Amino acid sequence: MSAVAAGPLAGKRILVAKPGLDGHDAGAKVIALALRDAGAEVIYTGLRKSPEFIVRVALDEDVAAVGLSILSGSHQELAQEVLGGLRAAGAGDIPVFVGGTIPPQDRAALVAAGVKGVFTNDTPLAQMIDELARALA
Amino acid sequence: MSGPLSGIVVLEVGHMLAGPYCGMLLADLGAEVIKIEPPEGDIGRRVSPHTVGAHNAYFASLNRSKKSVVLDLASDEGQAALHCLAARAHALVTNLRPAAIRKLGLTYETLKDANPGLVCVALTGYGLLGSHADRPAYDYVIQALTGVMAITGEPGSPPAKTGYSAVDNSAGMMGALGLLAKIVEGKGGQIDVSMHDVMLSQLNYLAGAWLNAGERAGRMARSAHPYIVPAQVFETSDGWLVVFISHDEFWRRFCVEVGRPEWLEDPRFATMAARRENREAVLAELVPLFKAGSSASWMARLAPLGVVAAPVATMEQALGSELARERDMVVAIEAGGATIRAVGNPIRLPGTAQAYGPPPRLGEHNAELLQARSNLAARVLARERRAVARAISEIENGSAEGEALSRQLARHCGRARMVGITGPPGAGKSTLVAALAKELLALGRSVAVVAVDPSSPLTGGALLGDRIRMGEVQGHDEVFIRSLASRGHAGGVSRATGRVAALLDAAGFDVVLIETVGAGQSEVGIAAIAATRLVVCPPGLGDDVQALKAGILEIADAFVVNKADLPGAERTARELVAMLALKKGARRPVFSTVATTGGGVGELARWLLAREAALAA
Repeated sequence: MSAVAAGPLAGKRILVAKPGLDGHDAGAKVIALALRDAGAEVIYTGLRKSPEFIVRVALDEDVAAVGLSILSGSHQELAQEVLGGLRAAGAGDIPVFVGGTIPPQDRAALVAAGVKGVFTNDTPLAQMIDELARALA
Repeated sequence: MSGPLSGIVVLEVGHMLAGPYCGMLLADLGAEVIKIEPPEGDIGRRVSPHTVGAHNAYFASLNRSKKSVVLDLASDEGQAALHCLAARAHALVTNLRPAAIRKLGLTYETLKDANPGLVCVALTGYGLLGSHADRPAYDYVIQALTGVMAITGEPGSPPAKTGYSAVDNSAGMMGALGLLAKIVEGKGGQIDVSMHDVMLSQLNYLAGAWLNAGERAGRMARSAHPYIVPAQVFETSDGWLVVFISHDEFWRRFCVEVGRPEWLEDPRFATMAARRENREAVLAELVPLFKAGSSASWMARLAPLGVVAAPVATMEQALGSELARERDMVVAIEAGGATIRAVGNPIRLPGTAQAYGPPPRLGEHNAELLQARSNLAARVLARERRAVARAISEIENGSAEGEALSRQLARHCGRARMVGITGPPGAGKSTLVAALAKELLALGRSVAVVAVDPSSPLTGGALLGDRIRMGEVQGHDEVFIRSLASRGHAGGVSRATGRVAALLDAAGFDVVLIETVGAGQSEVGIAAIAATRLVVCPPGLGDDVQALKAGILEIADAFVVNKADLPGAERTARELVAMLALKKGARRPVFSTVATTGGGVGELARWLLAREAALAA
């Protein structure tokens, strides 16, 4: 692998998960691929996973970060459940990021709940990678 | 701590004096000394009737600047924690009895698996092994056995022990010296220091005289030197004075000073050899001479001449002396609101700031040293999920901690069944793994899964998506799944896959299913890891069976034609059977499964367990 260029997220294991009931994961896949291309090892779990399931995977996979892709509008509840589950499992140190259709007015409440960063569909991928790389450095 | 040994980590399983003194010398030189104590603590915590702050005064004098963790080394958990600590330590010092050292696994032989570079120092009475090894030994006993008592004291009076613990202190120093020699050498190993040997060694010139000239050593009146006269204690008008006139020039000055220049011409007194021959005559002159003056007056006369003499001081006078102050040898150590006064480090290092920390409270550093990574192995053995996950990361990343962990856990491996699941992309391996895990759960087995996906050769990144097809079994408490990226390793698995699987074995999972990347002909790395290999074939493999005869088909213990509900499945199974019939050797079954529905997977699971039993037999 001598030809490999070390991307900004090289060596980071990141879980991309889709909690809730919405049935579209094109956005999550785009994010997963962008993270992979930045050098990350991305664990993707597929659609419609419960917060409890996501916490379990985050723990077992020993990830550096959890990215939640949420389009359903239930971002506040779902993010809080994941954050609470991680804290309850003694893994409150794993940062959680949220992406998807997040109205600007909801951003502050997510951050206040403990979400480390919020990315929406107008966030350029390069900017997201930069922010993640800084947060996980 | 600062000092030349900064960064060196020493574990001390010590009690009372020799081990703790050895540890303290190293701590004073900057080593991080971690004292491992039983739940009741080092007995030294209870020896003295005096306390200073929260500490027993005896303990405080021998254990400053150390950390303390409490471990029950007789328990599995204690042993696991010991191995974790040993993995990151440079040395271990113990002064337990040899039987206890062996029982508690405090030898290099036992700890080398955790850390081949570890230096293990055993301070014992009579050696780690041998006919006397397990006899009890204390400083007193060794002084009695080695002749030290027989040569100490006045002739005609009972044998005497040196006033301080010469044996324990000397053994502690020898242990530290041996330990540092091995650290300089850069290799781990056992150091076997016996207190009996140490004291024989310190009889050096007395032993040499007996061994080579047959000269017996005996108690000398007034602690006289056997060869040099006068060199002994003399009584003065108000105390005692040591005078040591070792050269004839000093004798000349002395004779002139005391107004007896004729002694210089006296053939009995003129030379060192003559004085030795005429010891009694010399003393007959000198004893009354010294008795006539005070110690101070003698010092005032002798010191300007360069004649070596000193009043016999009490320990209290010595500690309060100007010299002790000038050398900063009595130090004050802040310890939780109390100030501990102690004798400082005798090894002066100009340019290095000497620092002293308080002695540790019992188990004070458990949280710092045991709750974190250092007891990762114990937590893995207890199958604590987060610890297992973290340990896998350490192993996958090839960290020193991961390497140590693999070595530590090696003795806990070998119980789980390792099942490799390989085959070309699209064969349905992940779905089959999940279905198989479900069946094994139903059969009462706990299951770990290691799923390997390829890393990008361009970016090094990876998309680990096997979980997408693994369904609800992922949430089961008796299932642990870990996705690994191949990280450029050829052969269908990652470099760490085998060690990750071994860790899951140590964690107590009954079956470890290892799913390779979508494998072609030559990706047979799984063969070295898993005792049972399943090759999963998609329907329609058809003529490719011939092409695949070499490679992964050769390493299979069983074949699984998955997606058996699709056209072509039956033909693939038939062709596999036909191909296998051409080969001699053990029968290798061909299973047909529909992993999405679980069809045929129960039969496969039962075959695996039957094979497990056969392999174990």
